[in-house]
Amino acid sequence: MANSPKIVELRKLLAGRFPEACQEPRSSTSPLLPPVPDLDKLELPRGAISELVVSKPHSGGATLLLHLMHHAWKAGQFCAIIDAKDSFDPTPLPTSLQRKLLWVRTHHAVDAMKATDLLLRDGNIPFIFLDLGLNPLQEIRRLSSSEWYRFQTLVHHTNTVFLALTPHPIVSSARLRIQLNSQLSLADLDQSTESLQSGLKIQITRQRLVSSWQEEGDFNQEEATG
Amino acid sequence: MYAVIYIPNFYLQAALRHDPPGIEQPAGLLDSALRPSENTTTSKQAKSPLIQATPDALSAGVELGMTANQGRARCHNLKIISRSLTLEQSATQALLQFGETISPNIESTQAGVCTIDLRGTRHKTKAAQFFHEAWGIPLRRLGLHSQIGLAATPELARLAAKQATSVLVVPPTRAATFTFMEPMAIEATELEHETKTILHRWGIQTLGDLVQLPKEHVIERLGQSVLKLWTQLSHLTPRPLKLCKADPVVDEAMDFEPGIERLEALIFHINRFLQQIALRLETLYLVAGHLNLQLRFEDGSTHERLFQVPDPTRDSTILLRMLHTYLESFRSDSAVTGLAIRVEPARASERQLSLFESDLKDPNRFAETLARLEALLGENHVGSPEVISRHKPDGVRMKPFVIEHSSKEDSKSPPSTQTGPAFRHFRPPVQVNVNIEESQTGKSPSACLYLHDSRTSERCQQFQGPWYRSGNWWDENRWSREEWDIEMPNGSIYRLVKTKGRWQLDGIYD
Repeated sequence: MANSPKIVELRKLLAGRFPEACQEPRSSTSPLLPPVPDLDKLELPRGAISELVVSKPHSGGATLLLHLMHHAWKAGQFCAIIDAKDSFDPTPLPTSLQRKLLWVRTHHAVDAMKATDLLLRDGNIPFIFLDLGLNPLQEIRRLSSSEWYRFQTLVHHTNTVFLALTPHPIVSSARLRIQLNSQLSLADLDQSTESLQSGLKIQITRQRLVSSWQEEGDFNQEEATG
Repeated sequence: MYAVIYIPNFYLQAALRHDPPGIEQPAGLLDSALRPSENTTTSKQAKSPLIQATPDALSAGVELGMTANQGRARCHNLKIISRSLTLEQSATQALLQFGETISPNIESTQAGVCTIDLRGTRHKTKAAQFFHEAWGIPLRRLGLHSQIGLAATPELARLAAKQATSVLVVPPTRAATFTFMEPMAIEATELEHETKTILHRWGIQTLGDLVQLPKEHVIERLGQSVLKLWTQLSHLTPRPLKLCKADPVVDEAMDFEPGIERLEALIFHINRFLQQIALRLETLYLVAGHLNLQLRFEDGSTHERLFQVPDPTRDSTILLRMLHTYLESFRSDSAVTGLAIRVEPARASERQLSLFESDLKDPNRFAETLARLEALLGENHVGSPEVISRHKPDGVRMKPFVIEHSSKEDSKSPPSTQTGPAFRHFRPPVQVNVNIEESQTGKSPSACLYLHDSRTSERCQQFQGPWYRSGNWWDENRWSREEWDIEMPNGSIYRLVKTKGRWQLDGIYD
């Protein structure tokens, strides 16, 4: 229904008549082309939801999260991780990063969503990571899609970087969706974390440069063709 | 020059300080002091005499010394209040703290009387104007209706305060002082009743008459107490003050009878307290750094909680929100019979962040969000991680998230020496059955892994290990374990652990 050509056409018409309603967001990502050759060039959009899809639990999702936390810390920012399966291991983090990290531990996706809602409403933490990587798919599918739209509304008026790590693409309102296609092996345990992070295979599967829904149809088409 | 702030009907004013319209209505104060430890019985109250009353009550015919019932017979809407020591202490502290903003040399002369030594202060020259302003706004906002007297000695200042309607200044000249005290009756002084009777018998009715007496006769016939007064009045010699220090903590406390059972009612009182505390802090030019909430319950139990105000403020709305958020998730089986809020004042932050520093936009709101998260998830589920031991498995604990000023300097660290991917813990670990079979070559044994809840078995592709780890061998918390890293056919790499003869999956590398 949402991708119906009539609706897409209507949206384009409305966007033409009321351009102020479909303005560019205050900040957006620099254009990224999939795949991402260098992890440092991965720029998550502010004021929008990003989704990191980790279809296998050994693709390096947690390793990427650690990298993003370092990135936030190097920028002198606070960050928060909502750990939906209480699986986060903070041991590799430097002590000063640990002090700037808010760790919210839950065992169910529903509690994690409630905690995320509170933190997004608060608007104080500039980097928020929601880790649903180990939660069963059935539990995640039970989450209402309206919750993600509410998060989008909450985060839209802030400068917050919000990344949801999911085992399956579920965040319909995500502006940026990246897929991790790495495959760790036993030999990787002896590699340095930095080289592992730089070797992660990241593919961008969705990138909305304009926050309005007018592009939704186009991107969904891109995904379908891609 | 000395100033005396005199609070008439101090006990009554202290009891009505959190109910400002009350002082404008007929009210009488009973002499039955309500202490936190004892419950005043109704029969005791019935026998207690009224010791203070509002002007409205007095004009309606109520007289001091009457019982509550007698008072109500004269004035049907007479509000009967019991003395509250906690409220009187709060009021005394408020008065002394205000006095300290004027001069460090203050004396708590009596309940509701604060003497201030103005010598050497900037208020000495424009004292009258300053105290007129103080009488008009700050003291009234503190809920204290005062009378202020300024004179050359503490005694004269107190006499002036008792005579004043607002502020009475007796210029520190001999002529002006004599003009002021000459017609003043002996009753206005703090002399003993017997001494006053003797003076009356001698025909000495006023202070003017008293200072006319020869010094030798005063010493010989009336003793030291009258001599002190005589010396102070005739020579304008100030007595030394018994200096005191106001408590640096700003607190308000109240007892409730009957107890409060609903949150809304409690919040109403807390709001009043915080507004009063905010005013006191404003007077002191300070802000709230820590907030201590104390609740006393009907069953005798107490509850205490210390709040750190992340961004020190004296905004009562922010402070109230902090307490409200906490109390929303607080449950008690008994009614609240006592409430006390203590604020440890702090100086307002004057730190300006540099270009490369960042901070939370609204630390107080964030503290409130943390409280909500704690209420939602439990106390140990929100905070900062603290690694207590890198050797011990999962040697991590939670500590409260402390909002610190972040700076670029904090983000400088030596290059990372970490190896391997990040690890995800299974909390609690997953119990499994493992069967290790020797291989044909004898060098690379293959292992079969049986999941605890499944009948299926799966052979791992590769594995490394075992590595032996142990710790705390010197105490009862000793632990030892064998660790293996195993790769399953689907590519997942787990950490397999054997501890106390049992196999478990500790987590997965991701």
